[in-house]
Amino acid sequence: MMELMQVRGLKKSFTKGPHTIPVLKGIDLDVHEGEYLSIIGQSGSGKSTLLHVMGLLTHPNEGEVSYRGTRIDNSSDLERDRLRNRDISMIFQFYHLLPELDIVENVLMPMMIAEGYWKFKFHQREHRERAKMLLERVGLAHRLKHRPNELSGGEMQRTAIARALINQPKILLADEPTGNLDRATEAGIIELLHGLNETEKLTIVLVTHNPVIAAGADRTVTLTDGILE
Amino acid sequence: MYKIFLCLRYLRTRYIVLASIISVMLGVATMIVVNSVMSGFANEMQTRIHGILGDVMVTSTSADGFYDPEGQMQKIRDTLGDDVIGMTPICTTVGVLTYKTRVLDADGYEREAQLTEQVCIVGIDEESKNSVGDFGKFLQHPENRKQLSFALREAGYDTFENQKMMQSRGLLSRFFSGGTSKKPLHEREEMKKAGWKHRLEYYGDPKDGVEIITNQELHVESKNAANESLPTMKKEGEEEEVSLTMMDPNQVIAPQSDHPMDNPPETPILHPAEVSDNSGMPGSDSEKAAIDLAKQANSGKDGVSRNSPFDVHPVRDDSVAHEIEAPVLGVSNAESRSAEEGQEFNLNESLEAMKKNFDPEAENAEGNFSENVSGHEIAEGSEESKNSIAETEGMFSGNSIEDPFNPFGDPVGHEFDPEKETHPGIIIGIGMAMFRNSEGKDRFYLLPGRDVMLTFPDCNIRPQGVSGHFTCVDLYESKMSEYDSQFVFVSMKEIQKLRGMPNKANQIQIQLREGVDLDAACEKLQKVFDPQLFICKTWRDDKMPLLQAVDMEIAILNVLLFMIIAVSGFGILAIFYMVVTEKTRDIGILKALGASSWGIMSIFLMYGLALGIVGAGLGLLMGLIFVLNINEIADFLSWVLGHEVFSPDIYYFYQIPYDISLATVGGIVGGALIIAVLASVFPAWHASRLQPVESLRYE
Repeated sequence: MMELMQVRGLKKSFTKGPHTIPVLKGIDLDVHEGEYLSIIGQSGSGKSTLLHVMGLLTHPNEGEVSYRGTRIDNSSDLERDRLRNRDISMIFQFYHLLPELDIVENVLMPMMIAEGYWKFKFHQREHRERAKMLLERVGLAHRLKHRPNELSGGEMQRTAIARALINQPKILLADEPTGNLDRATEAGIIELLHGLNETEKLTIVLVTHNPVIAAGADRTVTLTDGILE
Repeated sequence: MYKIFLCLRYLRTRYIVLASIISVMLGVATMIVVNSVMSGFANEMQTRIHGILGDVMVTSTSADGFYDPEGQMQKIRDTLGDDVIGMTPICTTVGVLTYKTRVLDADGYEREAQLTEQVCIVGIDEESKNSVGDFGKFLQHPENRKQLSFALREAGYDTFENQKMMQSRGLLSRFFSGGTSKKPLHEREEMKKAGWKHRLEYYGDPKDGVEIITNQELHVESKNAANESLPTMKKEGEEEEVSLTMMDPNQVIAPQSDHPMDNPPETPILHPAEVSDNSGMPGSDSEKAAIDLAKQANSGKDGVSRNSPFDVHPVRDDSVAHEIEAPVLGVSNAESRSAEEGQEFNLNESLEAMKKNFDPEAENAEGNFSENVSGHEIAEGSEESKNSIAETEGMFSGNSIEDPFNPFGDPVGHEFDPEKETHPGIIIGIGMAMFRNSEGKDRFYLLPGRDVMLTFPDCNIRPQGVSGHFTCVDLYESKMSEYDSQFVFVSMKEIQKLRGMPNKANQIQIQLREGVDLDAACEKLQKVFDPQLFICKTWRDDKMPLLQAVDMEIAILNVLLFMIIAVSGFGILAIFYMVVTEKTRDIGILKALGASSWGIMSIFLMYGLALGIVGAGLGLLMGLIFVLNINEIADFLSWVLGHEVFSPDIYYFYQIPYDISLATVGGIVGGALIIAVLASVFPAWHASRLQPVESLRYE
């Protein structure tokens, strides 16, 4: 099985005034293609930071991140932007939807970013169809015209998942996707992610502090104090 | 795609940016309004200056002018070739205009008062003047506008201001205002009878050619006149008072003083021939002196006539102060005191002979010519001046044949009958002939048809005042108060005769083909004309300080107003910074979704541009609507405030002129857009530097 993403010797620390706080202290991790990996760890163990580094939202202090055998942590901004847009999607604990757009527009946003004005305009109808299809897939067919603030937390996270899927990424990084949801909703989201992994062979890396959620994954690693066990 | 999409979405959902839009809009609108009105004023002014001057002028350095204007004009034609489409010689001097008018005193009685004005006399060639500039356009009689004539017209003078045609040259005005005049113009009722009718009425009921109209007659007639033509005067007492308070009551001399006994003999009997006599001597000494004096006289035009032999009161504001002196009008040529004795001088003598013979000291001609026009104390002066003019009988009669209109050419003893004949024509600046009362109606002191007297220095070595009677044949209304209250126009030939400068002119005005480079033409001419004797100038050069002052004013106003837009630019900056701070999370999300830094930056740059476009667009619309309806707005403000906002008394315009130039409007809108974009650069750059993680980490 090919390694979709490889993390080697990753170190990351934050500077707060005169103090340097190490968060990740040398992490090696392989993510296989099509796998459902969960990273479990206590609050403050550095799991979100690990995910941000993998998602190219921040740079590591040391170590490398490779995607399909190519090192990506030090590639150009343009390339990193492109990867974030097309290959590596993320969903967040706080959903991070754009409040001024309705959910279809929110779902379409990565596509708008990917395509120029005319290209997008030209294919607008198919794109909208695809966005609606995805929203149907995540169970939001009845909410198309709503704005994020009119939705429940679970619905917002479903919208975020649909948005993450629109550009057909290879890997989905989920940062505590159920951290703010009640048990029932949580189960629905996890089931959705599981289904995506099963039917669409989407590689998922899920970060959580909840062992119950982590238990559903193909493979589980534990992050303690910046070190994987 | 997302950039445009988001920037439009933010524009729609962030109401705070409305503040920026409004500030840009107001700035743009103000600039458009102020610029349009200012350049409207400047344009009006330039049209008038240009109108009276022509394109290029060749001016004599001496106020006494140069010889042979025809020859000089040929020289100009040879130099400039086909570029010349019109030329006219001009003969200018300073002088004093005196005339009588009837005023109402506090008791409602009309009295005759004499008004004296300092004037700038322009002798023009009636055939060719209209080929240069647009002098004719500003006259009140339609026929005179077509072909100028110094003969009194029967009737048919405009009763409305004809400045309407000067207005509405703005590009868009055609579409919006349709060129209609919105403010009802007050008809100039007095102008209805201008012409011969007025003359007959005014000088009517003569007693066998007796010149002096007695007080009683005057009184009766004036009452009639008041009934007929000035119905408002009776009804509206206030108005009368207005017209009266303008005259210092102390100075109103009762008509009794009209009696010849009370006054020194007031006959300005001055035969043109007398003057022309000593004119043509180009004697070196005398001419130089005359030149010097005339130069001074010329410079005196600006307000103080230093070397006029008369005690000239620099009465500038025609509607306020008038010197009211002992009246002379109507006694035109009653007695010719100019003695016939004195050295005989043959007109036909060659110039050389004149040179030789002429010696001011030796000449003891008794000619009394420069008679005291207005009963001033100048009587003494005339003693001294006697020697400067000699006359001959032969010339006397010869002249009268040549010029049938010249009343002075009549044989001695002929009594001028104002009902049958006129003096040579004069066109008077309307500012001297009327004033505008508080209601915006025009009241006239003087109408075409009336006689006036002009007094001005001759071309002698020691300039003496010479006088001539003229009949007002038209009024000049350029709406440039400097001109309208100062200029009188007479036939150049008259001036030449009276001043004693035959075949001489001060200036040649040249109209060039459209598109000819005036400065280049001017330079060419200056090469041909000796700079010691001639100055070649374009009309812009001539009024350089004035035009520059106006340009400067516009420039300063523009700078100040542009600062308003700059201020709104800082408003945009502040508001944008706020929006960026508010949108930090969104920026992080967009970056996480793959948006580039440049993309984020361009969202905000485009946001600024869109805001500028909306603001400048609205401002443009608002400014244009304001300008195109500026007169209605002024009326409305006048109505609200209860007093005239744009007083026609001050500006002499019934309407506020405006001139919308595409370049200016384009510049303003473009400037506003640039400022809006510049103001958004910093917030946009700030936004693009945000790290996605920092903005996403905490909720």
